[in-house]
This record gives sequence, structure tokens and C-alpha cells, in this order.
Amino acid sequence: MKKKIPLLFFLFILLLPVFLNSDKQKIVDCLAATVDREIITLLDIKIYREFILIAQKNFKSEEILEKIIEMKLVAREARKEISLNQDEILQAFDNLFKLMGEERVMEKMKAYGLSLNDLEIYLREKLLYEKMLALRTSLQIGVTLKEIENYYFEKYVADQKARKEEVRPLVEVIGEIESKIRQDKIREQVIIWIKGLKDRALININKSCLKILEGEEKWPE
Amino acid sequence: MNLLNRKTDFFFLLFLIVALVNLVYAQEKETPIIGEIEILIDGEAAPAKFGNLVPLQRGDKFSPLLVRRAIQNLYFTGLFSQILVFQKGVNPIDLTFSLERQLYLRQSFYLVKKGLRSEMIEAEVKALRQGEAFNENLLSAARSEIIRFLHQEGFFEPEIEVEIVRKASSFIDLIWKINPGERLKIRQIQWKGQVEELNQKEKKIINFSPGDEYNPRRLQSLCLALQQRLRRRGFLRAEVNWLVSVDREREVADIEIEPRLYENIVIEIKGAQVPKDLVIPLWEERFFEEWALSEGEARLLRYLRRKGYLRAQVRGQFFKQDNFIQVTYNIERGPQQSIVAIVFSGNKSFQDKELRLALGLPARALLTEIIDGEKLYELPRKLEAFYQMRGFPEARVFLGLESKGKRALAHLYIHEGPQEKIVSVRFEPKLFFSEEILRKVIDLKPGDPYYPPRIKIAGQKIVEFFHQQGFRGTSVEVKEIESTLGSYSLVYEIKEGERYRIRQIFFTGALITKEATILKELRIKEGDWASSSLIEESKRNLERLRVFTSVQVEEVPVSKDELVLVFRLSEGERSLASVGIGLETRNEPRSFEIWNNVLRLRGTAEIVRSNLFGDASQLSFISQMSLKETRGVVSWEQPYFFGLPIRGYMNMWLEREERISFGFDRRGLSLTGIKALKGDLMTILTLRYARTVLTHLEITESEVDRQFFPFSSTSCSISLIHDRRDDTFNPERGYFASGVFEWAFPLFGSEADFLKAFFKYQRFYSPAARWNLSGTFRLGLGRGRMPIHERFFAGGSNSFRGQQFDELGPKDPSSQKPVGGKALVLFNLELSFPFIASFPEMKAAIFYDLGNVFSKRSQFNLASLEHALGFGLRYRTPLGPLRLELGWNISERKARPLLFITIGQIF
Repeated sequence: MKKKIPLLFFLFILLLPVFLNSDKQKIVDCLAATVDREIITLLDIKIYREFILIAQKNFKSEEILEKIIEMKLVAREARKEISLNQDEILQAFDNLFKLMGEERVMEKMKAYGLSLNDLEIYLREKLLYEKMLALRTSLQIGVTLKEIENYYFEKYVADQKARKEEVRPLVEVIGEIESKIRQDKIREQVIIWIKGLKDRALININKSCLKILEGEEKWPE
Repeated sequence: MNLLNRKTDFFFLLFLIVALVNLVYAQEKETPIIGEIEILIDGEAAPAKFGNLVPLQRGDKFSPLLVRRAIQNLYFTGLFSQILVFQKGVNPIDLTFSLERQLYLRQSFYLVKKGLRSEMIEAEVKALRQGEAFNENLLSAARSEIIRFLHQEGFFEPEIEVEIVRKASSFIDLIWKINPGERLKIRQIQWKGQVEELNQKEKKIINFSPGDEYNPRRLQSLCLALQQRLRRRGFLRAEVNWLVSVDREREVADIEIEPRLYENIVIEIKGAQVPKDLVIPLWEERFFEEWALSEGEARLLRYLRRKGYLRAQVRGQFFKQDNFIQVTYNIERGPQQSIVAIVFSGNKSFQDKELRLALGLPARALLTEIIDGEKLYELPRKLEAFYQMRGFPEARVFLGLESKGKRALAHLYIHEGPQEKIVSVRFEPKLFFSEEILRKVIDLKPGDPYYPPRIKIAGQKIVEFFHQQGFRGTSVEVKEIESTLGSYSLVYEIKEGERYRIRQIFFTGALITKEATILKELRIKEGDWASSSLIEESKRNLERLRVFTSVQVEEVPVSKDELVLVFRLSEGERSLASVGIGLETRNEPRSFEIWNNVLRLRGTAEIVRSNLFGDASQLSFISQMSLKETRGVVSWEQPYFFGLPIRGYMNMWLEREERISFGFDRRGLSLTGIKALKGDLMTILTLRYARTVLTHLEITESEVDRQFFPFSSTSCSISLIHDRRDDTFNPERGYFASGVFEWAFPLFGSEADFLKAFFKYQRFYSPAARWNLSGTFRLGLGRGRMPIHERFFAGGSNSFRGQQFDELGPKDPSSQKPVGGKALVLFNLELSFPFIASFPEMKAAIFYDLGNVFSKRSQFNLASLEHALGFGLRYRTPLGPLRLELGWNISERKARPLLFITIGQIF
């Protein structure tokens, strides 16, 4: 018996963390932000990240939140002009399953208590966001000859010389430059538009909730 | 043996570890269930009702999504700014909802220097509003707004501090300390552009000099003033732009001013005297000239037609060269005519009378035009719209004019076209409510005219009906099937949505007002269907308490068939003090004041404290003074009269008044209840005690009328009022009827013992455009011991305009002062009409008054009524017409005219 006492003590020490952990409080969810009357919680941030609804994985929590806010605002505007049909939704699910693997998706859905209908809400928002941006970026924007010339002389020539590459004549690169300027203008317009949406919305970010997220070493499962 | 023991121990240990790992793993693998749920608000246990917002219960399976839904529900109450949910345990999971109360901004104070006023800054700060939710993120938005404002005032280096002061559990005050800093100095002012076109006077408008303080707002107003000046000179499109370069290091600003004159535009109108202001604004904007020209023609034509030039023609042309535009409008006026009649032809489906009513036209003109020319030309379009609403989509109406000298007859030629009708109305699918009920809701049946907007409105009515029954998410689509030409079958496809009950009702923002006071106003309770009309009625009742500046209602669905109502209330200021002088009625709530309460120049001081005990009651002290009277009234007002839904007043007053035959001091106490009945009917019940002492008496003393002898009366009166006038102060249509009964009885040592009744009926009618005919009948009867201050008097601008104030009726034989009477009858008839076309607010009036006052009811005699005739001028004001009148008592032999100047209706 005396020899068993150290064994039992060792077992006790082994078991102690298990019981202590089960008593430890941890955050399940909190209100991370509000956009007008819509809420964003910690769970939303996790879902957006886990289901790859936000493109970049290595964003910090605040950056992800900003992105989610942007998506919500753009999707809200999109609902006024765009509708989604069932085929598009099914395609979105298909893409997700292919990307993550169907089993993994189902596992995560179970972990978060999501049904397919619940996940569809998130996917719809992402689709509307992407469609709206595509619509905005397909708008016709004029580019003047003056702008092309300025770009050619101020940017193109300098860049080519810096890269020690051949400086082609304007007439050869006019199409490329026009396209580049157009893309830049569209991008700038979209940024300004999104900024306008953010300025008009009432956005509150709860930094203490975000700190909780950042304080965790890894994403809680 | 030792080896065996060691092996045993080893396998025992291994077994325990494996079992433990399996146990832990198994616990984590299966979906955990919910254990205890705790809700804390600011660290303390929340009331049980908040549990209704959490869609989880002990024993349920744990779902992060349901936790999120709980957060959403709690957020929608508007009560909480921070919501954290903790879990403890693995299986079961104990949840703790930790909530932080939402703070609301009570008030912002701005302490600012350098000649800036706090009201200016308050107007600019939109991010933070009184009564709205506060969080620290809004402070930076507000700070940016203040900085922007200060920049506009020329202050570029302000110092701004803000202090947050917590007031009550959920309210904060903000104290902003703003030091704007110094304004920049102007280093130089340069002129660019068309400076040579400016004369010296115009240049001097921009009276900034180097060394002056730079004030952007002032610069803007000066540039605008210069712009206006240039436009008046004929450069209608002139602009004055400015550019400012700021050097913050040197604290200076360089200003560049650039006037751009654009074209010099000369506008000429030939052929008629027409104000140029009708067309000038069209040429100030840089629109297409062709548009400005045609729009100018249309405006001039409308003006001329309004003046009676029914056949006027306007042709515009413009000539443009360099920086000069010459615009000419050539007008051919034609004869000036008035439209004396409108004749319809081609109308088979409607009679002339119906069409006239639809267009708001009287049958014939009496002394003047039936309608002005501008409105005449709008009639065809209005008539076409009338026909379209009645199922005639192809109806066309043409206007023709037949002249007879200065008079014109308007012909409206109507081509009706075929009528489209509804042949059947169906609802799909089989619904909660029967077809019969839905048909009544939409008020559309087979045989009704087919008019698409009406069909769409019917769909909206269905949605509204379902909403009133507690359904949410109802949508309606209508299919219109044309079975034969002009015959439509309607199918309303309804998706009912879900029906909700009220699970809980929350109130926020009521710091002073008691819950019982609020609950009394609700027409809906927990467990009821979420009827939108009852919710709306509750909202209106709360607004009517006059305690809240805003009442908002939020619906929070907490399950698939239950929702929580959140009433967000903002309490208003409770104290009010005012002093003023103006035209007011007497402030003594008493039934007989309905007819006797004249507008008079009075000075008033008022102190009011509302929502005194959180029960929406109000205490006020009002003091009034005029040349004829002095009064002080203390009033206690309650929305409920001894718990009944009747607005109650308790009043105590002291007053002194001077009349022609007597003067009195009175003190009194009254209890009044006012209740609005169905429609526009109202009733007033008053119990009153008053003690009156005659301070002087110009008639012979009697048993009832004794100078310096107090006369007490206790009385009870009831009034019924039915008011269907279109406007209280300037009525043109409708009627007003009232009846008052007062019974004074000896009680508490009072001597009064009389019965008094008074009836009034007024009628208002408009026989032609801007003509008003009005008539009033008044009858007063009394019996018993009525002292002079309770008897009926008449005479003056508000009763009988053939006698001075109070002078109608019997006189004291010695002093010839009026003694009043126990019977009164008055009849007034008045016709007012416009007589200066360009001055529509002024009217002329002729009137006829008939009536008398009798000492006793037995002396009532229609043959001894007095007659008065007169005329006057009326100028319309928001308080009623300003009246100047001359009246003659034609019952007197040598009647002299009496002049009356007053304000308000006689009636």
C-alpha cells in the first residue's frame, strides 16, 4: 500500500488539470461590432474565417472585422439592385465543398451549430458583395489621351528604366496604359464608394471583445 | 512477487490513463447540453424577464448559433452596449451573459471662447444627440465635426477636451471645453478673372485687408453678396469663387478671389405688365436656353390666365452673341374675362353634378368668377384622372371657351371611351381568414371599375390587415387576367407569414415616469397577438401624455412565434417658465368660457412643472393681466380623473374684473374633467365653488346684487361640444355645436340657487371661391337667484355689433347701465368676400346681427329683438381675422355707427 501512495498521488496530479479546465470560464461569444442595426459577433468572425469567406487568412482580427463590415455594407446596397438565383447559391456551396472538403465543412458546421440554411445566409452575403463589386468594376470609365500621355511619361518610362527594360513607344503601349489607368480609376472609385458607405453608416466596434479574441493563442475549436 | 506487483501497477496505471483519456474525449465528442444560465447586468443579477430574450434553456443542446441569437435579441432591446457570453464546464455547459448597460446622452455643454456661442457648435454636432445612445467611438466623430466648424470660422489650431459625467444609471452629460486658438491673419488678397468688369463699389464689398483676421464664413458671405450684386446688374449667371492657401507655421492665409461674370442677360417682356421675377430664376442657372425659354413661356401663361386673360399667348425668343443674351417674351394678352359657368358635354356615365363635385366647382358664379383661368386649364387633366380612377383609361377631355364680352363660358368636351371592370376577385391559397373578410378589407368587388393603382393599394391593405392580426412577413402578389376586352379577373396570391404573440414588453429611457403610468397607456399586453394597430395606438397614447419627446417601438422576434416589444422613451424637459404679452383667451377653465372667452391683449407669466410624481401630472401657475382684469390660476392637471380615462383639472384662482355696470373680486376652486367621445364630440364636467364680492355696482342694489357683500356659489356644469369646423381660427366649412348646463345649488353655506343653460350653433359655408358665408345662433336661459356676474350680457364686437360691449338688453332705470338678464338670444349672419385680387388675405364683409337680452324668461319676445347692420374689413391672420367694422343699430331711431377693431371670429 505504501508503494501505491506515490502512484495514486501521481494519478491525482495527472487528473487535476482535467477537472480544473472543466471549471475554467472562457468566452463563448461577444458583441464585436454593430453596423447600424446589424450585429457582428465573435462567432461571425470565426465563421467568416473558418469557411474562407474572407480571402486572406493571415489578417488580424481587427482587419477581418473591417472586411466583414465592408462586406455587410456592400451587400446591403447590392440587395437593392441585385438578386441571386438558386443556381448561384448551389454553385457557391459546391465551390466551398471543393475548396475545404465536404466532410470538413460538415464538421465545422456541426461545431458551430450551423444548418445549411444558416450557412447559406453567410454565403449569400459574400456572393452579393462579390457581384456588387463586379458590377461596379465593370462600369465604363473614360480615360483621356492626356492622362495616358502623363502616365506614359511620368510613370511608364521611369518604371521601365528602373527595371532596365526596353521603353516601348507610346503608340505600342497605349492600350495597356489605358487599361491600367481605367482599372486604377475604377478601383479608386470603388474605394471612395465604400468609404462613403462607411461614413454614412453608424459603426461601433467593441475593442474589448476584439482584445479577447487577440488574447487567445489560437482560435478556440 | 515484486516483479508481478510492478507489472500489475503498470497495467493498472495504463488502464486508468486510457480510461481517463476516453472519458475526456467522449465528453468533448458528444454535443454538450446547457446547464445553468445566468444573466448579469453591470455585474448584478438581471430581472427574470430578460431570460425571455435568450432562446436557450437548461437541458437544451448547446449551439453557438443560438448564443449568437441571444446576443442579437439582447442588443435589439437597446439597453446594452456590451454583451459577453462566458461558458463554464464542458458538459453540461453553464452560460453567463454579462451585459453592460447602454449609456444615453442626456445633455452636452459647450464651454467656448472667442465670441463663438455654444448654440452654434451644438447645431454642428450631429454625431452626438440628446437622448441617443452613447459610446466612446462617437466622441471622435463629434470632435471632427467641431474641428470642421472651427475651421470654417477661421480657427485652425483648437484645443478640445471633453469630460464625461455619469448622471443616473444610464445617462451621461458631456462637458466640452473648447479653446479655438487664434485666427489666422490674412497675408495677401489677390484678384483674378474678370476683375476689370467690376466697379469700385462692387470691389469694396470684399472688405478684407492684409492683416485682418481670416474668417472663412465671413469671406463666403461677402463673396455671395458680390455675386448677388453682379446678378442684379444683369450677369444672371455670375459666380464669385475663392481659394485660400493656409500656412499654419506662419499662421497666415492667402486669399484669391475670382469673379466669373459669364453672360450679360437682358430679359424683356413685351405686351403686358408682368413681374420679371417669374422668369429671372430660370436664366440664372446654366441650363439649356431652350428649356429656360419654354419654361418661362409656361410661367407667364399661367400668370396671365390667373389674371383672367384666358386667351393669352406667349412667344419667347433669345439672341446670343459672345457674352450677351437678349431674351424677349412677346405677349398677346387678349381680353380679360371671368368664367361664369362651366358646361360639360359627352359625359354619359356621370352627371354634371358629380363632375362638379369631383372638381370642387360650385354650380354658378354669384357675383364673380367661378374659377380663375390658371385653374381652368388644369381641369381637363383633373377630369381625365377622375375618369381613369373610375375605369376609363382612354378618357380624354378638351377645353373650349365661348366668349360673351367680359364673360366666358368654359366647355369641357369629354370623350369617355370604354370602361374596364373587375369581373371576379379571388384569393389563393386557402387562408387563415375567410374570403369574405378579405373582400371587406380590400373593398373591391366584381363590377367595380378597373384601376391598377387601386388594385395595388388593395394588396397593401391585405398586408396591413395581416399585420394588424399579428402576422409578420406577409406578402401579396396580384395576378390580373383579362378574360374579355375590358374585363379583368383578379387573383391575390398571399403568403401569410408567421403569426406572433407578445412574450414580453420592455421600457427604456423612463427615469422619472412610473411604470404604472406607462402601462396604463398600453392597449396591448403580454400574451396578446402582436397587432400593429394596437401597438401603434399604445405609441400614440404615450405621446399624448406630453411627457416624452419621442416614443419608438422596436419588435424583437425571440422565437418563431413570439416577439418582444421594446418601447424606447425619451423624457422631455419638466420645467417651463415664460413671460409674454399677446392676444390670448382668458385662462379659467370653465364651461361657459366657451362662448364668452374673447381674445384680448393680455400679459401672461407662466411656470409649469410637468410629470410631477412620474404620473404625467402637471402643476402650473399662470398669472394674466389686461386693462380689464387681473387673474392668478394654480392648476393641477392629471391624465386620469380619479383613475378614470378622463383628463382632470383642479384649479384655484383669484381674479378681479371690471365690467360696465359692475366690478368684482372672485376666488374659486373647481374640478373639471374633459373627455373626448366618439368622432369630434367632447364633454366637459365641472364642479365649482366661487366666492364673489362686487367691488363696485353701477345699478340699484337688490337682494342678489349687493356691493361689498360676498356671494358664494357652488355649481355643477356639463358641456357637450361637437366641432366639425375645418379650421378653429379661420373656419370656412363645417359647423360647431355646443350645449352647456349649469346647476348652482346651496351647499357649504353658499347662496346660489339657479339653473343656467346655453346653446350655440355655428355653420360655415363657401358659396364661391374665397367667399364665406357664416351664421350663428345662440340661446341662453336661466332661472333662480342669479347675481349680476352670473347673468347674460351681450353687445360688442363678439355678440351684437349695434351696441357697445354689454350694452344690449335691459338697463338700470337710474344709472342706465346694463343689468344683464336671464334670457339671451342672438343670431349673426355674415358674408365675406375678396375684393382686391392681388391681396387675397384681405376681404370685405357685410353682416346682420339680431338679438336681445331679457330680464326674465317670461319677457322673451321675438318682436322686441334688435337689428344691426354693418360692413367691415377682414385681414386673415393665424389667430383669426383682424376685424375693422362699422355697425348700425337699425332698431334705434337715430342710430350712430359704432366702430369695432378686434381680432378673432365673432363666433
